[in-house]
Amino acid sequence: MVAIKLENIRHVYPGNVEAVKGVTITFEDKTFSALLGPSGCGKTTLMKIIAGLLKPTAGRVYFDNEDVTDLSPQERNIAMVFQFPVVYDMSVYDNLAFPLIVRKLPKDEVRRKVNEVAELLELKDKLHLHASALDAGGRQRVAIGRALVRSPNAFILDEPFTNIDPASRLVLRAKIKEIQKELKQTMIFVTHDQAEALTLSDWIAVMNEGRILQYDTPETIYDNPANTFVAYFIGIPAMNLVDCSLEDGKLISGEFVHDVSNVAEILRAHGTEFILGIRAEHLEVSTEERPKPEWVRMKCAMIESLGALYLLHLEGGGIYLKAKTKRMKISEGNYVWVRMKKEKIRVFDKKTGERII
Amino acid sequence: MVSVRVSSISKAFAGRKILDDVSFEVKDGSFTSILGPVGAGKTTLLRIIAGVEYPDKGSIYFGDKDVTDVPARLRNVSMVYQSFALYPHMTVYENIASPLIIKNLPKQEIDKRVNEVAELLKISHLLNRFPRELSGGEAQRVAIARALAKNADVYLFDEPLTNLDYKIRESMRSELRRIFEELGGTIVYATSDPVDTFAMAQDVVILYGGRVMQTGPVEEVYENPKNIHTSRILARPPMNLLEVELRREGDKLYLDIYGNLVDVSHLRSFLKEDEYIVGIRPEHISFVDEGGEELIKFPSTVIMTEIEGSESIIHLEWKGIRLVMYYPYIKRLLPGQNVVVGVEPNKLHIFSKETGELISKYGR
Repeated sequence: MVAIKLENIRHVYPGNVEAVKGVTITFEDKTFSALLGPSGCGKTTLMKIIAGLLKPTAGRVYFDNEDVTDLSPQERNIAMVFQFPVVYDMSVYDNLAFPLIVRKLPKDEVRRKVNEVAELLELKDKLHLHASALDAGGRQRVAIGRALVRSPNAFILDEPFTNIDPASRLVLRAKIKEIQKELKQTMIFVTHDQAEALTLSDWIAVMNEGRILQYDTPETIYDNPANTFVAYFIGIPAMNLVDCSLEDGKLISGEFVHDVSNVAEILRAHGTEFILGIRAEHLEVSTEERPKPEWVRMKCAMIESLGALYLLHLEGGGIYLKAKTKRMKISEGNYVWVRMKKEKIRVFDKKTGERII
Repeated sequence: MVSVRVSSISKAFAGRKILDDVSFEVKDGSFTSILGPVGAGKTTLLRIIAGVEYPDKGSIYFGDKDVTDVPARLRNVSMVYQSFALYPHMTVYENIASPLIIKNLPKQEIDKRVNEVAELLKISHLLNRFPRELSGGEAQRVAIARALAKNADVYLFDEPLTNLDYKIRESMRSELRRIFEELGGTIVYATSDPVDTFAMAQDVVILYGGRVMQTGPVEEVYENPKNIHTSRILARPPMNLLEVELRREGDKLYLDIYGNLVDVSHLRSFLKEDEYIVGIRPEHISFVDEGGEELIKFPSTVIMTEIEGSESIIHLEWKGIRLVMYYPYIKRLLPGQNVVVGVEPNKLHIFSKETGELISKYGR
């Protein structure tokens, strides 16, 4: 297992399309990271560069301290698992044994390794079956097993759960997480699905328009997004982002007024206009008449049921907020009282979108 | 606008029953969701309402009129499919206008109508583009605009959001509702995702194995599931179902939930069998202390935490049984971690093991 280090990676496709615009990042040894971003953000290009399937226009790729930029995928010994499970037209056993036979390992060692991996992936009772006869979840297990037997330097998984039905997806996700923990593999998985990234990985690199915007733990990315794009992209619903301004040490947004005199200096360095961010679950909503002076009256424009919870679309004072609440007695058009949990308020630079607080 | 009545519809393909005596009514101008898992018969049902499929038995009424024998093109319905096909050689404008051109409407009216729906779907700036120049979300908006342009009596949707990524789904859900509130029209919306139903529909028809399980206003059906199928289908995540035994001790009656005894003596007149299924909503399970409150406790091991958007779905194992818990914030518990969770006894649903019908809810 190795640490994967990317240094100033750029990639320009023919026609002058710049897919990756200067990426520097280190995926530490034995960590499980997600490369997350919307389609077209450059994550697939970056993955191919790590695997050695694509040579970057500029920049270097290191495995630990060795420069592997010019090495072929075989020489890099990276295991790849794709969206569509690739199995060979042979038995599950032969599929798993194949990479070892190619390397001319002795027969009893092949058998030992195959059995080990089959045990891990719960494929033991399926070894004699034809691999193509398995369901998508089973075939993906075989593909993962075939990658595992080779003891690769690192794993790259490209949207590995997309084409697997929801029931076996859960089982397979749990399995991969377990394997990563047990074998301490360096794993990077590429996904456009934030739920999957938050569910599986220990680290998330959020990518957009060819750049890595933030690389951190799921909790930090969710609570302290580096900029307004991450705030929008992570979480359902997106973080509420509304205009606000700084006046006399107070942050004013619609009819909300928050005393920020303790950080006013930091803010003032960025001007007087900002974007306030707050998550839907960090708004408190009450149908009682003004529970406390700082609560603000807003109109409930729409109630979106989420099943166990409600998502209230609120408008008032020129701003629009979504609040997540328990199921409550309320109708569209009603007025409610709203409060922001102050410690959960984030402030972004209006021009750059970068988070300040 | 018109109401739709589906009356005793049955349909089989190659001897396999797809729909079995399906009846329900869609109110004039309502947004009704047909909710059921993959293979429940949703698409076939929509096709029969549209008139592109003919039922083996039963009738379809639009208002008071029996349209069972009326061909699709004379029914004035509009349908949007899961995988939407736009004409690649036509601009967005021409794509939206195509059903109106077929109808031979005057050019001026076509123009007015196209601009109206384009405005509604916020695609006015895309009218001169070709489909290849659109993102997935934009293309689906165009497909929906084309369906709406027709000014149909009934709009049929077959999982139109399934192939879109989650950020677009998130915004489309609230937008579709706004659009239909402005436009009016009777909407039948088939989906396997309860999130769609909760977010958009007034009424729901729960379809399972080709049969109607329950119909009614979404909130009412959610609060009062008639059977185990509805309890799992109109829920997110599905209700936990545990097989339990009924114990009689003296004049007391207990549900034996794998060693947790719950006094149900007051339900004596309803509980005549020896075995039942207990249903627990994932959102009714919470973290508890070891302390002595009156909770049913499950000291469990974490299998996996799934983060869905801004919520956590925690999969637990307790005495070899899987429990799913819903937590409204982000909380990542690691596999193998031990936690104690519990549920209030009055939150239990009790179902008949034999028929799956609801017997008692919340201890009543």
